[in-house]
Amino acid sequence: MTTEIEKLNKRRKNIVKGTFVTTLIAFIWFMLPNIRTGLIENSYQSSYTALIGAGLFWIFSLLIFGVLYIVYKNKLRSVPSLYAAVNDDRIKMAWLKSYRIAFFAAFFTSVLWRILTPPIYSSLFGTSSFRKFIWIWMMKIIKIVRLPNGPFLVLYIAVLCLFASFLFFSREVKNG
Amino acid sequence: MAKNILGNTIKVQRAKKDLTQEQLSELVGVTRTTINLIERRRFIPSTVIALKIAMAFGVPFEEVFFIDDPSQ
Repeated sequence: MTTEIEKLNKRRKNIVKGTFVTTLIAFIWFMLPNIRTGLIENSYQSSYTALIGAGLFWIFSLLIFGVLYIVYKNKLRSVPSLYAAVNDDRIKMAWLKSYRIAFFAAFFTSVLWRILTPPIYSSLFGTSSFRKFIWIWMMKIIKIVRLPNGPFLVLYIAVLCLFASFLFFSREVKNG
Repeated sequence: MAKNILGNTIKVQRAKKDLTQEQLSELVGVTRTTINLIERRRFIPSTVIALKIAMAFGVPFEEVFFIDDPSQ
């Protein structure tokens, strides 16, 4: 027998899982062409088509899951005892930990992205062939995350970390 | 995930009352996963939840929860 609390808990988990999966798809969609142009074709061009495609797909999926979440939240609000049960201390704690992880993920991604900005490295790497080799590969990596992809990358990583860590912290321990 | 020092007798008390984790979760007003994690000592409940669990069993608080620190 499944209680109403469990049904609602599962429904929330499905919404979070759905948001995570669609964000991951959008992230891969967004990253793959940039990796291809950056690493294989050795081009400095960012893929704006992928950026727009992935962005639209992501916004559309967020809208769908957003509506589902609002419907779910309204149902919960109509029964305060259910609302309290589904959002118990453990769930609140899981959300808090997840937001903290998402914040640090966004912070470190933006710092890393900023550090890898070309002007800093052009002065660090000299003219030796080994240094040139490192510089070329560094540039290839930088190209993947350069503007306008940088802010989107930070956003994607923050959202992915938020939902992944929530799913991780709210999971059930099977053994031990 | 390491076990915490707050021991409990929830499993024993549930068996005595013939309650499933799901039924206990409904009595306490939390999710079943929360009961599962408290029972397995993976999550330290708040005072309110701990008191509610003891009340659901109809026994004093200290009969359900105790400090189990191996270093002491």
